[in-house]
Amino acid sequence: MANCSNKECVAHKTSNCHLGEEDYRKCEFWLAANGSKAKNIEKVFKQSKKNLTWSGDPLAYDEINSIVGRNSAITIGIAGRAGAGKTTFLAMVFTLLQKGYNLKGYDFAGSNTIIGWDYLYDRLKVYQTQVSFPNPTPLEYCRFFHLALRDENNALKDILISDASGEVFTLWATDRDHVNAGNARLIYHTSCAFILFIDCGDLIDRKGRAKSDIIKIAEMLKFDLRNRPVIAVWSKSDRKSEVHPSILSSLEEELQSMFTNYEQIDVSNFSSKHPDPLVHANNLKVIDWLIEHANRPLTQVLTSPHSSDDDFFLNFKRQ
Amino acid sequence: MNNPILLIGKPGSSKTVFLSQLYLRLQKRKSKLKLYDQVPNLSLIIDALNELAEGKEPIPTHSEQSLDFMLPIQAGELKMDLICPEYGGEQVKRIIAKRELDSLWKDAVTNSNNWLFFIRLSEINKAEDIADITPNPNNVTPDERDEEHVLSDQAFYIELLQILLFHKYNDYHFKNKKVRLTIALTCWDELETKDIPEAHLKKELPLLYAFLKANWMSDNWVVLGLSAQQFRLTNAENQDKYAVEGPENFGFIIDKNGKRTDDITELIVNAVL
Repeated sequence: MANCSNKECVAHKTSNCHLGEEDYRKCEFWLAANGSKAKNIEKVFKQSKKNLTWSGDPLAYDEINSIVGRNSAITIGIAGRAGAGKTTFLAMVFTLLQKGYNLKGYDFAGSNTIIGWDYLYDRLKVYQTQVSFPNPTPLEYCRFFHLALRDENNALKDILISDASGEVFTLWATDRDHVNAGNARLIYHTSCAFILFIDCGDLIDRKGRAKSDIIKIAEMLKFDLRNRPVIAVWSKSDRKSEVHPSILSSLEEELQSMFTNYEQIDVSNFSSKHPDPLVHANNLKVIDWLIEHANRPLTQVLTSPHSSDDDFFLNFKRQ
Repeated sequence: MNNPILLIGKPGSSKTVFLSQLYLRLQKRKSKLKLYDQVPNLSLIIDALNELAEGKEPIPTHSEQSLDFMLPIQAGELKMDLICPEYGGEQVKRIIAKRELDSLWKDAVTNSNNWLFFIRLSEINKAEDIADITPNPNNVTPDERDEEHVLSDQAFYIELLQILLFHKYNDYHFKNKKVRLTIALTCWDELETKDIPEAHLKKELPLLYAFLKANWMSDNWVVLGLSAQQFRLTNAENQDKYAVEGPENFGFIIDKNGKRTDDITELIVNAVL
């Protein structure tokens, strides 16, 4: 695939337009460098629309309806600053599924975004003893990865996991209505469960400043959270022991006090043994916990203020 | 068409050898199955038939040869047609790349409720990934690879089945009862395993295995081992066996319980059970 004429665009690697064009092949900068090719691709693209209802690539927001409508899909929003390991976490999830590690109580039953998943998996392959991690996610990018799961009772459960640039969360954490924080707002309103990424590497390097940035994003998550579950994922936890103990304990305490439907977990991409719980178990446990807690009914059980009458509704009427 | 059995497999999955050996056994009445009619066109397997008769390894089918192939098979009173649309071409790869089925494939998928899916595990690309190793965090580089992403084998097979199921109007709310799926792990002799076929598929392609288990009723899919050739024809002794005894006397399948049967036509019986 040739490059885009826009030097800053990585569409040839990620299929995502730097300028946010829904289909990068329609972007004027792409067409400038790939005119004749683009026409051929366009032809195939149109044919594929005619035949199939999915492309295999990650889904844009307006494409998730076909999944959401199939049953009550769980949409998981991933929040965290740039470089915290959000996309790498997704790559790790699919890598582990490919290797035969399972989500608790579920079998993998398919995906409408398997080409997108596999692209992420491809980044974590080993080339000449080196691993190349995914590129930073572009600012305008916001897509959803899909997993169809089947539980022990043969019921189908769809999961959608968002992937967006960390920069939009930093902007959103400062100004909820920031013009460039649309993707963070979209994820916040769409998701029924959240992953908050805590970058141990950043806490080691920037200490209190990094902690403050995490708390700002957490505050924004809390704003209209209601009972939606939040799991704090301490990424790059193979280095967690290097985080200053005071920062570590105070951050843990503050987050604990902010949320009610809450859990925290340590994950890593670098195993120190095989299998390593941080790598081979905890990455998938994040999804396990969110599925379990997003499945719980959100409504409170009504209790009657008067217990004398057997009729529940009349009791309320008397009051 | 009579109870069509759709044969699906990537190029190099040993379809040609199987079809040649199956044709020979049926033609020479070496099994309880027989041909109920003349094979309309043998040109796609004729080279393999000649090479096997001489004890030579068949040359892989060229991608330019893209014709339909059909074997009219009869078991007792039951007639069934083994069909391979666009056989010999890069057809299944094209289905993924173009994300469409041509009319021949659409007809075959629509009409067939028996799918015979060939997977050659010895040719599966098993790349090392980060879950396998303990890399040095300092040995991580920015992603500067420029090559186009090639779909991994597991993702390929899953997406191919998803596309075929789409054209079968599959409802994922329910496990599949409509299409009987027979997975044949081909060139079984190359695998050198004592596993039963299903366990071996689970070990080698766990995500595909999970997908199959999640989407098919347990009694409507089966995994078998297949060695249509039985051994490589790379030394004079083996070549002589073929040239003297006849290719049709070789080949075996491993049933779902791990039992070996020296009659590859059993694969067809399994596919329409």
